[in-house]
Amino acid sequence: MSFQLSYASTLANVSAAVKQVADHCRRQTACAPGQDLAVEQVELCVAEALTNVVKHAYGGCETETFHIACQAARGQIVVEIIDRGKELPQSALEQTELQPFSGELSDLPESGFGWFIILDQMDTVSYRRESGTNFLTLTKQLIGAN
Amino acid sequence: MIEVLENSVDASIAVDFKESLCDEIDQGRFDVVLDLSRVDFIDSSGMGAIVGAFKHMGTRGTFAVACVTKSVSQVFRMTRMDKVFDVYPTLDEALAR
Repeated sequence: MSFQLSYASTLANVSAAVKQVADHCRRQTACAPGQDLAVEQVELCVAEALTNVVKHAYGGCETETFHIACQAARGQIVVEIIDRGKELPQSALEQTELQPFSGELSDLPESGFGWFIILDQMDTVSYRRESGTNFLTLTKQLIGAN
Repeated sequence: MIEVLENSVDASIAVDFKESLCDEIDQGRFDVVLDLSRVDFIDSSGMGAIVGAFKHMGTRGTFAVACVTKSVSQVFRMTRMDKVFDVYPTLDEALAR
């Protein structure tokens, strides 16, 4: 079972889209033991990815559109996010480590965790750009799924 | 003790959330325990708001977090903020510190 939805590029719609994804995945996995963690991880990573689309790909412009498709079947959850914003910088997909913290309170980071979280929590992350459109696909395997 | 009433602290409310916390601190709340018992979702923007408030407190007072759910504590751990904040499992333990 899958769904596809389109939203205007606002942070409120990011929340709405994340909820749709989480509700869909919970229904499809029937909250089977061990799979609720995977759903929570997908929920978080979709929030991070969509926030990046709204804030960075679209630069905060609220009149653009993002599209999200989600399928939870065959032992995995696959989410595809499509937007026509700025190209994702290659550096984003290389953030596999957190920046070291100097210990100074003023240096504590308040942002910049998003891509690290996505790369850490998802089993696969793939990105491509075609004809001015960004396609980001996140995949999470479901433990114990048939 | 500041009880967070929202179920979800995400990018859509992070700016206002941080401002509210900073306002509380500026009004003289220098011993803050943030009760997150109602929060079942936080993303890195929400975490950033809490970090921002913690930095705003600075050396004026203390800032702790209590009653984090499993999923919220995951985000603290992933961002290594569990090493920065005092995180207490219950409000009683946080208030007794």
